[in-house]
Amino acid sequence: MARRPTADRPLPGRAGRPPQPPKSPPAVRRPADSRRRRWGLAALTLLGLVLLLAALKAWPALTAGPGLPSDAALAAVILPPMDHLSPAVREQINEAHRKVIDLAVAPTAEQAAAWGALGQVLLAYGLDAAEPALRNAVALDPAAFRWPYYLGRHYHLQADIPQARAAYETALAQRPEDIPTQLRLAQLSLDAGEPRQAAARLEAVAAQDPANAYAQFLSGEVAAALGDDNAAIVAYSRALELQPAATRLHYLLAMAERRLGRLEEAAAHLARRGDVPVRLVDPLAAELDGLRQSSQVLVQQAGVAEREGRLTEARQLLERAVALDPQDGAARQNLGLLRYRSGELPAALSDLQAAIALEPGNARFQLSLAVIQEAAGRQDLAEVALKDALRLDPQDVDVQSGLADFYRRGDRCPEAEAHAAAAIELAPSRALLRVQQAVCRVRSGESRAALQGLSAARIDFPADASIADALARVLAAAPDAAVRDPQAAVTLIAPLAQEAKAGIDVLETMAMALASADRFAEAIAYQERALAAAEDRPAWRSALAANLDRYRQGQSAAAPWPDFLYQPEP
Amino acid sequence: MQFAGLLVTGLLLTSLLSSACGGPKASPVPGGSDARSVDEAPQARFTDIAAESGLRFTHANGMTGRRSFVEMMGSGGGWLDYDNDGDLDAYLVQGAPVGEGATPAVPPGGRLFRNDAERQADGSLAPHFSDVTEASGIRSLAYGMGLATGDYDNDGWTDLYLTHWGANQLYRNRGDGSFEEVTAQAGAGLDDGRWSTAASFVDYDRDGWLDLLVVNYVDYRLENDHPCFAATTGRPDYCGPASYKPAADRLFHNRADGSFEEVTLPMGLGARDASGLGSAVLDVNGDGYPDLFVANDAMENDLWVNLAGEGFENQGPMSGTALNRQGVAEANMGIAAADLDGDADEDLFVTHLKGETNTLYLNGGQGLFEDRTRDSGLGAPSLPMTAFGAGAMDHDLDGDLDLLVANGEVRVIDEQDAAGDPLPLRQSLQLFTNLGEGRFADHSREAGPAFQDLDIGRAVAVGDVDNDGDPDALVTFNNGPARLLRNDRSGAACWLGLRLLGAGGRDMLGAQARLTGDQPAGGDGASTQLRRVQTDASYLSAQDPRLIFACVAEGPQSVEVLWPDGRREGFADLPPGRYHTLTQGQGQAVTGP
Repeated sequence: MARRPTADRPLPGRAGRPPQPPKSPPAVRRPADSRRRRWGLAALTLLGLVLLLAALKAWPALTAGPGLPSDAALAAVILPPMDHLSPAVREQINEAHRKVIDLAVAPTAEQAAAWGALGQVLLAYGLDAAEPALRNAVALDPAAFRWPYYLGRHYHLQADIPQARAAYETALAQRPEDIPTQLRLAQLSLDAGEPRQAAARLEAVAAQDPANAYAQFLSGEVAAALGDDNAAIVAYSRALELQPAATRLHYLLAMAERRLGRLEEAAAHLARRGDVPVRLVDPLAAELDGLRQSSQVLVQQAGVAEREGRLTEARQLLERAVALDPQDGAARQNLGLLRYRSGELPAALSDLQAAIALEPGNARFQLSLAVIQEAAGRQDLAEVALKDALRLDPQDVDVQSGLADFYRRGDRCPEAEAHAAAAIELAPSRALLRVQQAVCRVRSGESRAALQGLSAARIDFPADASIADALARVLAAAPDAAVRDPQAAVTLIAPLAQEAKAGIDVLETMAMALASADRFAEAIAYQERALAAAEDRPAWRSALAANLDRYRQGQSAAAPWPDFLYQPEP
Repeated sequence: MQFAGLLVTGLLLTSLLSSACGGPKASPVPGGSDARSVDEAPQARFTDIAAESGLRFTHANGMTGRRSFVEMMGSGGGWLDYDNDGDLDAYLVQGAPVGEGATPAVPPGGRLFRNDAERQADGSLAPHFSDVTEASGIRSLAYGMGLATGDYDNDGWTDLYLTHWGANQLYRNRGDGSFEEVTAQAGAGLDDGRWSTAASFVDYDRDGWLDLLVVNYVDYRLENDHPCFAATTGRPDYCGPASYKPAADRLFHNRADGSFEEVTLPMGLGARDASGLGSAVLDVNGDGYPDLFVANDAMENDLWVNLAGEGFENQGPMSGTALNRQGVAEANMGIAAADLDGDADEDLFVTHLKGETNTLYLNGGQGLFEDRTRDSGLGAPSLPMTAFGAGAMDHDLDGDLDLLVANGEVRVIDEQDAAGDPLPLRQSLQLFTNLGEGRFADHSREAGPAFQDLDIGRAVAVGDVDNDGDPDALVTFNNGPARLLRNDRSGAACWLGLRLLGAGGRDMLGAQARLTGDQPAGGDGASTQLRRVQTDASYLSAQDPRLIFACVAEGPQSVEVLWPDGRREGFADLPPGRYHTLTQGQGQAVTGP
């Protein structure tokens, strides 16, 4: 059992600072023997060179800003163990490290740049050794902007508010107009419970850049902190105008509306909330992103970019990941999926095949391959891949439902039943699985089983529109006439069909239900609305038109779902 | 479009990162400054008496060196007075090997410890525990996660539900010192084989029988285990919840005949799958029906508001408890559900990962909450910590509830890794003293040596193990020995202890008691102290169902009890300095507002 250090670790040149959170237990200075030999030697070498240099020449007097070292001594930088890092990352850090050593007797500016570059790389990977490296850069080149800024980022990420503030202030002294730095400082003031200080900063930013979305977002935060929710709403809305992708703002708007007692407006914003934050345009932070040379990190960054709709950036990141580490199966898989979404099927197939060669036991890779093979028209190979996925992980609900869907699209519904049932067993809370099962049961001539399954699902999911829709369809148009109950179908679907935003399928279902109740004139009206709404869906239009003809001839629909659901997707 | 979903099922499979770890967390958001200095906080000090009291239990996480997801999440422990002798016994949950080659070797199964507290010369009680697992009949051999305690069959003896990474188990207390496993005969689904975490006994329909909520985490199995990597350096690390599909929670209705039926979907709880880790029962809107709060790791929390026993509606987003104030779904893990600002309604405190603050949601009274973390003093000290268990306890008996938080990382700490620690996730416990009105001060440095040690904290179970009126805590540690933190509060304080029972002798989970009056002498507490009988909340743990109040006046105290069935009774002339058993029906009925 380790024990927390009882005293704060003093930093050079700073006396009387407020207590800091524990940064490093003594263990960090006692690396494991094997590592100590390796890295301790490097550290000692580096430290020795620094001390030698210090002995050889007097350091120029340094004019440090607030919160930064004011003495001449440079801090020792002990690199962390890097055994588990990828070779590219190790080499990147080692190269920056070597440069510091090589330039130990170079002019001060060059030394500062070398220390700063080392700190920048370490910061990019979230390694604590970034701090002393950046502090050395600041000490050696106090007129530079970027090193105190990065030091501020380090402290900020470590939640060390006083030191972050001091470092940012130092940076700002070099470049008073820098907007990201002002915004970071405003954020810190806000988080420190000083909204009025933050407001002063934000006013300065607004004068420089009135269309800065992040500044507007922070202005909203300031207003909310000061209890002015109306002003907060104005600022958040402006930020949303400037960055419509920042869907997280809807949550802030919802809470502000709620505080004002406007629950309907709050609910409307909640319905639109997402997880994309307001982006702060920050070139120096972007430089850090660009430094990362780990395929896993790049894959994760690509995931964020993809979720935020930045697909080109996601692709570039994945391509970099694959180039960096051709053995990274996840990078290959994700690149393949992005290429598939772009319609580049041969390249996508190649990526997935490469991923599977790297990780033959990965069921998800097989599943992805099946999707692409099917899109490429190779149903035979898609089926092989799906069966491989099933063999590898029969408990994966996506594999089971994927197989059920595959068989449905191949009009092989009897084969789908077992997989649909397995998927429902694995994920009973997914309503859509119940619909999928019913769609195939009807096709297999099991209309009564479909009805029973959907009736049970209706109890389980009383508010689910997809279940109501499917059940109404079966009641209206099941091939087995004994299952039909036209009045029940109309009753079930009418509330959904009367909604202003009723979709094509609900309109079609309403028409289907009315036709089954011999209310053909009304059925025709609904079907025509559905047809109009399906302007860009040729397969659906064709099915809708066929049923419209039936209604005009006084016939009800022959089946609850159109035939194209049982065919490969175009 | 409803069935349009069928057309794009294939596309659903194409989301990125299906085999990579969860993305990096949002950038740390620095928290606010502490409201007051630590010097202003009353002094409390905790002493670890686990070894001297015989509570010798070391958790083994079954690690094999592969950094399996499950090995760093558990395990729990908690209190129950299984033999009804008036002192708290303990159950501690054990891990199991995660594949071949686990080191250290994992002793089989969770352990039940009977407390035969011994009266000392000075009149105090000294807890004395004996391992009675063998005689108890409890055989929990799957990978243990947590537990829930409650008397589901209304026979006056506390029963036990154990959650596992694997099949869960229900044990009925026979009342003779032993338990029988009744999982199979008590109802389908109780043996949920997925990765279950928290569980709560709750009488949601107020029919006088305890129902059961079981929270599931993610679909992680050895068959779908895959490597994960640190978000910054890309080196191998533990997975996060985004790496696996979330799993649905389950609700079981008590049929009042010793069995349960699953009602998850009809009661509306099946709307979505989520990565649940914590659960707590509370009444957010004061309508007398218990609501359910589920903390979901890296997903929106669920606040299932009870629709008069007919169903539940998730009001998490509108309530303000689904996300933090910035709209971020944090790594929600442990929960404290209690009146933390002394305004006589129930608030929520939720624990999170390093880089996120723990979050304090204060209830506006009608189930609409505000995230007040920034102003509370709880934010900044939590940023460097990954917190799990959280116990609300009035450690200084000043009338307001303080917080004890167990911390322990889930991502490798570089410095500890460099030191050769095979499980480099160690952090320290924290104690936050309530300064009143929702403001807290970090009091950890003064709280005793146990708060300086670095270890991998998980569960916090609050209970008065020595019956001296101040709350103690059982804390579990991943791959380490459990600790029993005895509260050695300095100075005299007047207190009142209550055990609220139904006519059949069952602890009335969900009952609320209020003690109203002037602020406790020397304290800064509220004028009304609201306490709920609860054994759930925190993380993978079971709490002492008894209630402790700080006196509001000299001499006998009076309380008002709101029973789970909605009836209210007053109990007067309760001498302080001892526990009282209040049985429903034996108080003075209270009517009116």
